[in-house]
Amino acid sequence: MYPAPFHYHRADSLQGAISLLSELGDSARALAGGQTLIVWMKLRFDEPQHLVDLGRIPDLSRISQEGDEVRIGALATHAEIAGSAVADLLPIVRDCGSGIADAQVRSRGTIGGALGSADPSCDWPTLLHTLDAELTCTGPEGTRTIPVSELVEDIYTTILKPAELITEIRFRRPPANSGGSYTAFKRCAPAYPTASAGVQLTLEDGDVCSDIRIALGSAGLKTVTSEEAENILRGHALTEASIDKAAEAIVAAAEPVPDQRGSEDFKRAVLRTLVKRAVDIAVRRCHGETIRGHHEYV
Amino acid sequence: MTSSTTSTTVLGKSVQRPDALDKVTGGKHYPVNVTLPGMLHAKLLRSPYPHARITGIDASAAAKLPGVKAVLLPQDVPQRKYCPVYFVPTLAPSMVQDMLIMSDTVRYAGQPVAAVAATTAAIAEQALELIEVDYEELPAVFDADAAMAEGAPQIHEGAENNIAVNPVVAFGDAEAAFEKADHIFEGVYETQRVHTCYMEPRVCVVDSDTGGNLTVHSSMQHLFGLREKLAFVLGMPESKVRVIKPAYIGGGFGGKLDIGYIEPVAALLSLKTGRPVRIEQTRYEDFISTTRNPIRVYLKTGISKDGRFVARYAESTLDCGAHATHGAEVINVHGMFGILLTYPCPDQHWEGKTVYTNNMIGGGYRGYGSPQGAFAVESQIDEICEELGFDPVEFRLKNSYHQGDPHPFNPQAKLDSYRFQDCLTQAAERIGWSSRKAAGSDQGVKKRGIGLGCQPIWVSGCVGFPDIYEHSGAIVKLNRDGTADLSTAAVDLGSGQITTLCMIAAEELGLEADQVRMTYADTDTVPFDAPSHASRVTYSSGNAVKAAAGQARQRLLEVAGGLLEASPDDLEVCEGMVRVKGSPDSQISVVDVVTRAESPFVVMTEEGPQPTNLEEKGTIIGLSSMAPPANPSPATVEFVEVEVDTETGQVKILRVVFAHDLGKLIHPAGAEGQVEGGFQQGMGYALMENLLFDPDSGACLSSDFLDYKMPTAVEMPPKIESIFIESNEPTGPFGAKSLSEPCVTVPAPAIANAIYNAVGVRVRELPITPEKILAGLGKL
Ligand SMILES: Cc1cc2nc3c(=O)[nH]c(=O)nc-3n(C[C@H](O)[C@H](O)[C@H](O)COP(=O)(O)OP(=O)(O)OC[C@H]3O[C@@H](n4cnc5c(N)ncnc54)[C@H](O)[C@@H]3O)c2cc1C
Repeated sequence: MYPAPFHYHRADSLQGAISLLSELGDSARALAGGQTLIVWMKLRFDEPQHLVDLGRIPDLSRISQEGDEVRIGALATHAEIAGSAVADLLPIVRDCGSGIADAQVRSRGTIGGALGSADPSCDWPTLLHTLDAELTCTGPEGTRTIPVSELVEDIYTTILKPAELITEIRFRRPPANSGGSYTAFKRCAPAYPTASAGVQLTLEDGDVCSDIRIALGSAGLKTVTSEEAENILRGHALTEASIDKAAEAIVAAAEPVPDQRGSEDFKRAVLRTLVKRAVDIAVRRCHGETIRGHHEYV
Repeated sequence: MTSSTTSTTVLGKSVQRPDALDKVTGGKHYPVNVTLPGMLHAKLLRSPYPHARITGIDASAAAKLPGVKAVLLPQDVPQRKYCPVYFVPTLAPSMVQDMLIMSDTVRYAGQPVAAVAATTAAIAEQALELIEVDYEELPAVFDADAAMAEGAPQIHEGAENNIAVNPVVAFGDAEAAFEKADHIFEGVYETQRVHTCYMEPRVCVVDSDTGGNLTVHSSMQHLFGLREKLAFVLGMPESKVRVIKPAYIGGGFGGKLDIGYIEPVAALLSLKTGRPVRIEQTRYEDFISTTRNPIRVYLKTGISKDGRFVARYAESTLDCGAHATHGAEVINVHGMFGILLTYPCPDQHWEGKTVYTNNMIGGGYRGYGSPQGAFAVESQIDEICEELGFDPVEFRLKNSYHQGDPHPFNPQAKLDSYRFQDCLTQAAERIGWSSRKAAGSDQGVKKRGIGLGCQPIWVSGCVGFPDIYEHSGAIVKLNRDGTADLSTAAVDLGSGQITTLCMIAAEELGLEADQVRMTYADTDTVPFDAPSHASRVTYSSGNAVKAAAGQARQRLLEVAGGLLEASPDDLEVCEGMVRVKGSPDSQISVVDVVTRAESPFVVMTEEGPQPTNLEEKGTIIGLSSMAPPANPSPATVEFVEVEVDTETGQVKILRVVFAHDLGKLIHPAGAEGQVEGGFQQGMGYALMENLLFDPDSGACLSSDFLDYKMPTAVEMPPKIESIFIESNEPTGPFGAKSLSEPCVTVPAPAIANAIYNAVGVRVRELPITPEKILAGLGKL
């Protein structure tokens, strides 16, 4: 199908984009990589009358580290992030960025768009939960910080106000004795995941887990986290039994929707496996092992 | 009977495909790129209901939309019932004529009910929304068994129990033979609807002139079939339809083997407006235009103590959807080549049913019924071997046909070049069969296994099949620069037919491969050729090309003979020279011979005008139009090694060894490409592809490649090892027979058997998804 007719506007600056979006109101959408929005428009899930292209706004795709803070501009593409120095430092970031869809999608799609679409199948939001990321957002009323865990109100719906844009993603670089892993189960390369799991954990002497974050993607209408699961592992030495128990707890919190990718039971089984595998890889990375992460598919 | 192969200079060496550079730089000659001045764009309005009667259509608002040039409704369309399949006469008695271009009865969700031509496709699409159709909904049925049950909605008048065709084939007395069997095995094997996923959509541009003549560009597999079907449905003489041969198309795989709605609709809209009309289908429209028919096979096999087939019985139920289309023939090929003829067994009984439902229509797809049969037969053989403790390779060797046996389909012919046993033993050795472990015995979370699948009997074309066209033709013309032009109606689907046919012509003419060029053709200018399907082009069109090239060569030698004062029989052509055999000094270049043949009869010299020889005048040209002499069977064996993740159910293909006896290997790189592409399609069929439907509305839920998943380069095994066994087929061009389809048929059973070997789970329903494997492992 062809998208319904629309007007195209190109913003030159962040302020310009925000003014245009507030002027045009409800019938306007911000356009980043278009890998979600254009697809929705072609399927007529969305029929905006105006698109405001953010692509030419300077400085919105910068990726940097200052001290122990990592900053990623909202317009940074999946491929740019996966190829960045941040990904060299944090294998979990490369796991995620290099596993999304195929090369075409990775070179167009942006991290800001993945967050803005509030699609629970997107990988970045899940990953960013494990890093407790914060989002810098700017709108007509100014700039504020939103924790990633508060961004999504419901599937495909964020708490962003009209004309408010995500400009930057920030998180603390995990300590040296921390390791992470992100893994997704896909039917084939250019597919959204059937299920995904991210784990970031810190090990003290004697392999006591001093901190852990676990998040599941494609596991419900929003990213799924579970304090209960994390508490099972936090403060203890990890054992097979405790990992099983934690996986069980977070999978119990998930509400995977049966669809073409599989039944609810199947998705739960896969999630359980993904959590355990992500923990395993994270632990090995804590121990200094180099493990090439990847999404699991055939 | 000989297995030594013909010695050749051009054949057997890989060359660069003449279309390669063109394609990697954008492929401007694909039909999807055809544009004509003043061209309109049309779109089809499709029914949301699976079964309904149209009680009224109001298209007045659509007609008034600026940019709209014509609207087509059922009442504007000739009501001539047809069978859309290209390779049979339109009214062939063995097929079913149950389609109309547009009808006031809707039989599946997505059936076209109106069309609009406008100055842009977007306007045409917008206009569709303005057409108001009143439907009277009728009860619908989406399952073949339910459709055959009493009280089911009647989908076509006269089709009792909604059965379109019901072939029964029996040899000997199966019932009595089962009494004597030591063991009896039974199973039900089911396959799903899949699409060929050709890359270029179905697309056409149809133009008309003031005399009512049509010129047609289309992405399709058969020029003459399109001409015949289009002329029939429009009630026009065939000679008023000219179909242009595309330089190549973006894939077909059997999916473009029947006339669509788009060509007749575009033709009618062009006749109405006097302008060229283009229609390009969306991926969703392609998904509901053609598929491999799902078939459920009940298979029962009687085995003797020493492991021989004693009796076989099978029932196959094919869901053809709303119209029979290919389903009337697929069921027969499935029964014969998918089941009955696969391994010799004196007492067999098979019954097939092609059943109407309100599902989307089916079509052709590489393998044409045999993948559904092979999945059943080859899976069950492994089940038999597992249960009775036979080695699956030994069992197949013991139960197979042999070289020199009468051909099981055409018993007057012999399996002269048949090398099934060599395929099986060579491939088994290559994969390391002897070190295969017992089922499920591999340790660890990820378990490995090896399995095999075979296609023991297949075709090289359709000689011997009732109602199916099988002849070919070619024109070969020599140019004064020493090159040759070849024209045939054989369409290159992307599988390299251009390269193969040019190589055959070059071999026969004594030229280099790149000195023969495939050139323009249309239905007005070249002889009939059956479609590019049924593993036939290399064999059948290849024979015709060789004959045409042979005729041109003969003429070349005659003219050269006059110039060299030698008998044509004493001459040979090689390296661009015509030589007297045995006296290399007596020679003349092909360039000089062709130039001389085309030069003026009287030439001006210093001594004044000099006549030359009238007999040597005329373009050096060869023409053929002929049926191939036979229908030799190739044999195919494939071994696959898989790794199954017992925690996610994921299957990774680690290794593939494929063996095929193809008579003569003409183009090695092309042959390997066929096998690799075939494996990708077979692997998708085995593991992931599935068109899904809403169980209530019958609407196709797989509207694009976000939903429909096929293997990509990432999922493919790193390498596919092809073993080509040459065996010199005496009736083939330079000893060649067919290659193209069995490589699609064997992956599904080979993968299913390998999965069983890895984890001990037998899945009898495709696709074998991770979910089915986890369920089989008791983990769900
Ligand atoms: C075939 C295919 C497969 C895919 N597979 C995956 C996959 O496996 N994993 C995955 O994670 N993703 C996948 N995607 C989606 C892809 O990652 C997209 O890039 C991403 O979802 C959206 O990013 P975008 O830049 O394209 O956003 P757009 O499509 O341009 O925008 C998406 C939405 O976000 C809003 N938006 C964009 N930028 C901002 C901003 N800065 N602030 C606020 N709102 C904003 C837009 O207004 C719009 O509503 C796939 C896409 C395709 C086409």
